[in-house]
Amino acid sequence: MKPLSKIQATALQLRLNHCCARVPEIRLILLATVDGFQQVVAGSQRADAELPEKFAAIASSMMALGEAAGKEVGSKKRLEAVVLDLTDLRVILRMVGGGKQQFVLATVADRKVSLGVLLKIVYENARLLEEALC
Amino acid sequence: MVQEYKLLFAGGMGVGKTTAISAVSEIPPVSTDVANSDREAFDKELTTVTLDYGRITLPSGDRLRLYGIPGQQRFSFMWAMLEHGAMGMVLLADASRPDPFVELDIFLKAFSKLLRTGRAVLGVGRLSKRRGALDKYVAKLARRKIKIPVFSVDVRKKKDVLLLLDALFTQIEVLEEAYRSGEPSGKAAQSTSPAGDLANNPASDHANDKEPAKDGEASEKVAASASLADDLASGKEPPKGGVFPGKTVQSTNETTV
Ligand SMILES: Nc1nc2c(ncn2[C@@H]2O[C@H](COP(=O)(O)OP(=O)(O)O)[C@@H](O)[C@H]2O)c(=O)[nH]1
Ligand SMILES: [Mg+2]
Repeated sequence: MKPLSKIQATALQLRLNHCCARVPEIRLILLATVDGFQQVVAGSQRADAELPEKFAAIASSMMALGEAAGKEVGSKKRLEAVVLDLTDLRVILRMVGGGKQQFVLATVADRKVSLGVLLKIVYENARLLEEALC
Repeated sequence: MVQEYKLLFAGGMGVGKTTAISAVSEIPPVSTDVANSDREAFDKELTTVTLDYGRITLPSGDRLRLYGIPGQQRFSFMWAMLEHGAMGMVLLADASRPDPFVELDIFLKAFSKLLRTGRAVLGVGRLSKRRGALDKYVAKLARRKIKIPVFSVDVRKKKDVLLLLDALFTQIEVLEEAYRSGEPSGKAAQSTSPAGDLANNPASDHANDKEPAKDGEASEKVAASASLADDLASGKEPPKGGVFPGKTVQSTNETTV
């Protein structure tokens, strides 16, 4: 597992800040290692003292559980995303990267943003992050 | 009626929870291991981030569901979730860690409720062959008012993990018996659990040795604990009365000590 380089982290930070500024309903975007360490965090909730750190661990757990669940029901492919549909919020966890640099991209948004729009934002962010990781 | 029992495997990162469960599970274990980016904490390729899950069916048809926790503290939110409804616990420690007792203490505190009921065993891995090496662990438990059996084990070996499970059942059985007969179970655990014998007899630090311990009494006690291993190997019924006494208290909230 190769950690993010300084340049990579800075590029990703700018990208995520930009996204949060453009879509204010997004409260938090967090990039974590697959074993639960926060790497980059953006959005209004980033200021919360403990939330990003705790949420990074939870996000990696949920992603791994999603993967185990997929395997159990016969999926042969890797897990792309986990969606949490809460009555006031949506959380989308998306696997990003691969090989030695694999991360979980967690996005928390108000339900005012439709699921379709949010998924589109998340997948677009994932694509840009993957470009930056290369 | 077939019963299901939930058992928890706990301990720090790299003590061997995942290894232990896969050593004894009859199904391919559910694994949530991912790439480990914290090689300083423990230098291994993979690390568990949610849980391990394995299963053993006893000759009676009863089933043991084995749950392993993720060992790092940042995953402690999983610990209470996994502990819920557990009948007993296999706590593991790694004696080769820079400070195994500091790490052990985290789990003694986090799981103190279950541990103080006595429904647990401690398995210490990578222990030096020095006589009495287990004593410090026994003393540590005593300071935390925890009375459970302690073994030196290599969880890569199926028979060692079965030994731990068997000791755990024996321990639970003793507690249940005491509970039924109205005796304070803490006292029963003190007087009849194997913990005291093992603690006072360094010759029982032998599970890692190829040769059985020379000390007749100690090896006999450990050999007697191998009954579950034998049952599973031979497919014969567990000891009379079953490994589990009739109605086992499954709630971890029930404090009997
Ligand atoms: N040398 C040695 N290695 C052990 C012993 N017990 C476990 N291991 C190894 O230690 C590692 C434990 O990893 P794992 O089971 O993932 O630990 P977990 O974090 O508790 O799930 C594995 O590579 C085991 O093979 C032991 O007694 N001696
Ligand atoms: Mg593990």
